[in-house]
Amino acid sequence: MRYICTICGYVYDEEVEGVAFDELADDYRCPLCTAPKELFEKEIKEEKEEVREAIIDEDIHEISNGELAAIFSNLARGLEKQSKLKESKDMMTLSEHFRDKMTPFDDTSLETLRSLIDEDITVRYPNVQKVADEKADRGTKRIVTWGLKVTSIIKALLDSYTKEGEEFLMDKKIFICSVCGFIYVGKKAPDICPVCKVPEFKFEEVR
Amino acid sequence: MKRLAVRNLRLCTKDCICLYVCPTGASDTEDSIIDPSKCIGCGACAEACPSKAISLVPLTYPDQQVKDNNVLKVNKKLSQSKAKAEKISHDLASKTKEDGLRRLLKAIERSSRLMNEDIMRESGYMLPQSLNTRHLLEDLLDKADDRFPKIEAQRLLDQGLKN
Repeated sequence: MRYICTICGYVYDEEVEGVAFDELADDYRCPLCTAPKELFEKEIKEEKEEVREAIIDEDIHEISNGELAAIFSNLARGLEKQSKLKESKDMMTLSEHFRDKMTPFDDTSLETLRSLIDEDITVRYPNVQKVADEKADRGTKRIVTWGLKVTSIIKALLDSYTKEGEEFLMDKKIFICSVCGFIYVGKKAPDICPVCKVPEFKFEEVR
Repeated sequence: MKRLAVRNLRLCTKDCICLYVCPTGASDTEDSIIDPSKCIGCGACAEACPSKAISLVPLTYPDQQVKDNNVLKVNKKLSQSKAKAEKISHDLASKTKEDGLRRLLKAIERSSRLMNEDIMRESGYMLPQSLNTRHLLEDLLDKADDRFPKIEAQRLLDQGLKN
């Protein structure tokens, strides 16, 4: 039987390895992207029962400060790529204005962060996927593919930190893919991003 | 369609072959940005560049694809969640005394923003030159408070985002 890493596609082949996947230690991690054991799936998957209707809220209220910050930093990146550096700086000023305008949330805590990430994985991304499929919106399907993987890794890292504390990150560096946001914990950045496949120089160390 | 050459400085290795092939000297600038007032969009530099650091971009961008309303709605939910995760990570990172946790939270803050930017590209804000961007800036200027960077927003509307 073969087991596939749902994050980067790494194949654990029991025949080649000589050890059954189930017999691997609980803290086994994908050698390429460090995804934990539970993010592997058997190669022959049972059909998923998933005919759930997408939940669509009726009200589109105003654009929040956090959304505006992301809109403008994204447009700043677009302008930078067009070599419009002055314009890009103006856009970034707008982005920073709205980022700084965000007020702290009353429920700021690691638990809240974890449940946001959890609900992204179980509710919000599946919702987006469903609607994008219905509307054959390829661009939106792509953000689900990458975003879901990156979010799953974040959840796995938070889980590991909760279990092991500072020990988990001791003597290790944290790298982020500047393209898709994938986070890698280890001695050095991977040769290619396990999620979006850009080369190593696109990784930056978070200090 | 009229096009202009732009140089990607991350790829440029200063081989400077573009200088030799450019008929107007547009790529011969001190700040490495190909001079749009001289560039005639012939593409000779892009073809000659051994580092593939030059590409041609359209002078006027095509209209953006219209996004389905339901796609916008579900994207918005996701975007708000990413924004909240970004803010919470930021605030927690500035408070903690643990170095590992601080770095992890900073990474989550940055990652959440990157994912949110991706969501925004698929929510009608792909192109800086689009009508959506223009309308958003006009709207924000309309109801701006004192701290809103009016000069920057106005400058973008007046010159920066002209097609």
